[in-house]
Amino acid sequence: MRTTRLARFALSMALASLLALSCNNSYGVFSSVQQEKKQKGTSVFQETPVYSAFKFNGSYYAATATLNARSIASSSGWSKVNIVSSTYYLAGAVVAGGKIYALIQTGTEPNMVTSVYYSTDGGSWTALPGTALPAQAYSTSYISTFDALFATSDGELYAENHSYDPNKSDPNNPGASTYTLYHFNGTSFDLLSFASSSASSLAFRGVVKDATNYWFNFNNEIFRGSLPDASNATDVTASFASPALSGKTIWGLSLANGKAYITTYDGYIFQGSDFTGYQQSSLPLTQVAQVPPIASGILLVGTDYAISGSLAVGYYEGAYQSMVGGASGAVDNNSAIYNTTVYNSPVHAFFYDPVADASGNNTLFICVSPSLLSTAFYGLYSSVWNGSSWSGWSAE
Amino acid sequence: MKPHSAAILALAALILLPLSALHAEGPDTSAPAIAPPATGEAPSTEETPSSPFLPGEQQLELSAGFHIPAFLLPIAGAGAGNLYLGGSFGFSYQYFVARSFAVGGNLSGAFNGTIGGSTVFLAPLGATASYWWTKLPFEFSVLAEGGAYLMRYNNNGIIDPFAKAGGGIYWRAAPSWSLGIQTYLWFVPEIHYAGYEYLNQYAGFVETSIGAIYHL
Repeated sequence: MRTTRLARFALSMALASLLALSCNNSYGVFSSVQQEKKQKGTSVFQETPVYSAFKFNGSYYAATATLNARSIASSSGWSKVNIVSSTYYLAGAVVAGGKIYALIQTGTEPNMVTSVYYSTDGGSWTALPGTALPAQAYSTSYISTFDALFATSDGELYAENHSYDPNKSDPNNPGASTYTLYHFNGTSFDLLSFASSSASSLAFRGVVKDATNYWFNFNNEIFRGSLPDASNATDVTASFASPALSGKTIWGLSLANGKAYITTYDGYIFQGSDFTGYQQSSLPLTQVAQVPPIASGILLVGTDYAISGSLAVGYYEGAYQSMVGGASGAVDNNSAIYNTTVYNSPVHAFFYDPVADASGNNTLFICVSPSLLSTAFYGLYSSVWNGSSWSGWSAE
Repeated sequence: MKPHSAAILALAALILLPLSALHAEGPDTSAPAIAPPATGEAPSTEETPSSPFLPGEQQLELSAGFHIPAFLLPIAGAGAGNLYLGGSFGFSYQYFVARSFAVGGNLSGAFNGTIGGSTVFLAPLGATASYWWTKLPFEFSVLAEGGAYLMRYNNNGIIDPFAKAGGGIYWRAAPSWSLGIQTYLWFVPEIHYAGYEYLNQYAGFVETSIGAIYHL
């Protein structure tokens, strides 16, 4: 009997402790509920991942499996851009040299065709000649295709080729694939070579140009050179020494505040201008952007799901090396809106329009994958900077 | 196990442990306390007693219904308008310590969606005191409850005091069963401390539910 009572007492204490641990005195539930905003997004982005957003010729564009646009000046909503017809798959879209380039896949394997289209106005589209892209292959045992486009702020265009055996258990595993990078010379795409024995087996994460250099980012090596064709690029991975970038899986490359930022799967952010770095999170970090309100700008860095560990994602914001979770920052406006929009969703990219609209407002977009764990139902949210404060996230 | 699920299981265990203990010790302690009916005859299990709610009687109740947001104070935004109509459920035990007067315990749960797409979940656990009377085949009750609640919202939780008051009207459908409707006002204060007092809020909800009572 006494043993039973002791066991019940111990169990009660354990359960009471469990309850106490689930409390958060610093978080106001009902005050947060009162600050929530109804999210009324468009069906275009409902439960749809958005991978990138950009501005071109008076409109904002957002890339899902299709390209979508809305006019900045008019109140018209988002609509699908019919690049080739109403049915196509968009593998990527970028702005380079006064044109939008779109990587389009039509048809199904083994008759799939991957092409690059461009437009100077966003309305009419022209395909690059079939010979512009190197030959592709689709068979039951070998696929060689182009699956990503990249562009730099000075108008250089790049395309990634991905070759793999679709029968392998993880054909996207870098070790099981071959990746090569091509540079557009204005007429066709030229193969780039990098002085590394492993580069061809590494997925390409991006390319940016800071004031003087191009940064080419494979998933565990960084190359830097002053020429867009990478002919003088050298491996600078080891230059990030404290902490060391070598050995880490690189997850993103961004240009913000005129500097290259490299982010890693294990939560590190490195600054290319001074080769410094620090660990911001235990989550993978994705893209970096710079926004007001202070003169030098604050940085935003998105996060991604980790294979294991915490599933809480979203973004961090603040000055470099002193970022806080987005719920504590300025852009989201208040934690209730953050928690009911982008929290728990992997962040793919940001786009901040530095040019104010007719009302004097600047718009920041955040591109996410709506998560089953999240209350966020949309892939694209925006927050507006009116010169003194942010509006808070609202579904597009 | 997620903290949310663990907390719910823990709360359920806390209410079920003492109930199971009471049930296990019941034959030794409660049987002598059951008073004979006013007529002096043993109560039939097949007939509805003409004067129920005597000392020693016990009853269990299951309920389910609507959970209506009434107020959130002080106003720090849109008030209770940001909460949608929700649902509630409850499980209670009552023991009559005097004629028509019972004490017991209640475990409830309630959820309300929010305008932003979240959900507020409340799980109060409390001690009850109630007064019952009858005009057969109808029975009436007024009840007050005091206890504590666990609340979850967007992966955040809080435990605070809880109170509710109200009553119900029931129909004695069978000798051992009564069915009815009941309405309670839930008072849900959210109390913070150590510099976070500005987050204090006082919420009110109206529970309107259907209850099924089993008379042991």
